Amino acid sequence: MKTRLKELRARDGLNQTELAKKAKVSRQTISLIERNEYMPSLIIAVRIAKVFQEPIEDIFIFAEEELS
Amino acid sequence: MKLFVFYTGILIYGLYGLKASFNDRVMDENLLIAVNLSVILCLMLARLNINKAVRGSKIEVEIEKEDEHLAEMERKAYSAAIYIQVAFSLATIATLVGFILLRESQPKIVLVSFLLMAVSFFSLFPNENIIKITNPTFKMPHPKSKNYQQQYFDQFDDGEKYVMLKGLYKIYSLITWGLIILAFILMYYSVFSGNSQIMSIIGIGLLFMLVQVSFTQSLKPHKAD
Repeated sequence: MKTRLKELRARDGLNQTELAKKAKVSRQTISLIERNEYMPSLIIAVRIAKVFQEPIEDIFIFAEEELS
Repeated sequence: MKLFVFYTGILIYGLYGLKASFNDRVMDENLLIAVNLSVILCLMLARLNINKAVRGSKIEVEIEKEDEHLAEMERKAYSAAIYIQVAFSLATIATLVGFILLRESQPKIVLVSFLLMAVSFFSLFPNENIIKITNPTFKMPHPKSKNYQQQYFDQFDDGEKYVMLKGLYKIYSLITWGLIILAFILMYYSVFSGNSQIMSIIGIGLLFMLVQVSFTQSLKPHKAD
């Protein structure tokens, strides 16, 4: 899974702490997701998608083989 | 900062005392004083990291360096927690060993170990200012809350719980093997030294059983209501 978190944060001028506050998670969780060390739960993914106003699948991108 | 200066003063005074009367004391006493001084050093380093983390979290840095800066502050906050944990462990061991060996000849040294154990125990409780560095949305439960532990745990989000789980699983394996190895070492020690460690082996055995059973019990599916 790839994420566009870093790119979207840069677009919206948010640092990890600010995104963490908006998505009601810890900064550590944002950092883990960006480093692909943790796959977020559905609720966290939805909250992050809401912050960026983007569909979930445009933020968390799975390779075809991961989905089949 | 005041606390750091206070610890530094005690450390210097303790080192001077250790050096001045080193030859007048037996090895056990000198060793216990050295351990007490190590505890103070750990508490000093913890305080230093806490001060740096709190001060650093108030500094404004450039946007490009912000994430790395925050991660650095978080590392300092965790380093402080590690130093406090080391201090508490050392002080606890020093108190127990000191009580066995020196309670009659040098009760003052044992009392200092006990006081250091109490200080490091209370330092273990996380300060809200420090937690805010690692988790800005964290809300400390009320200290008098009946479900304090559960409420405290629930404050961590899924990502943090995932990191905790990975760490705890490693510790579970380490403790399991550590207890087995320790029990065997004590068995050989008992046989070859004639100094029976049966009580310790029984204690380790009970702890081993408790760790294994509780872990497996937590994996067992619950009965449907």
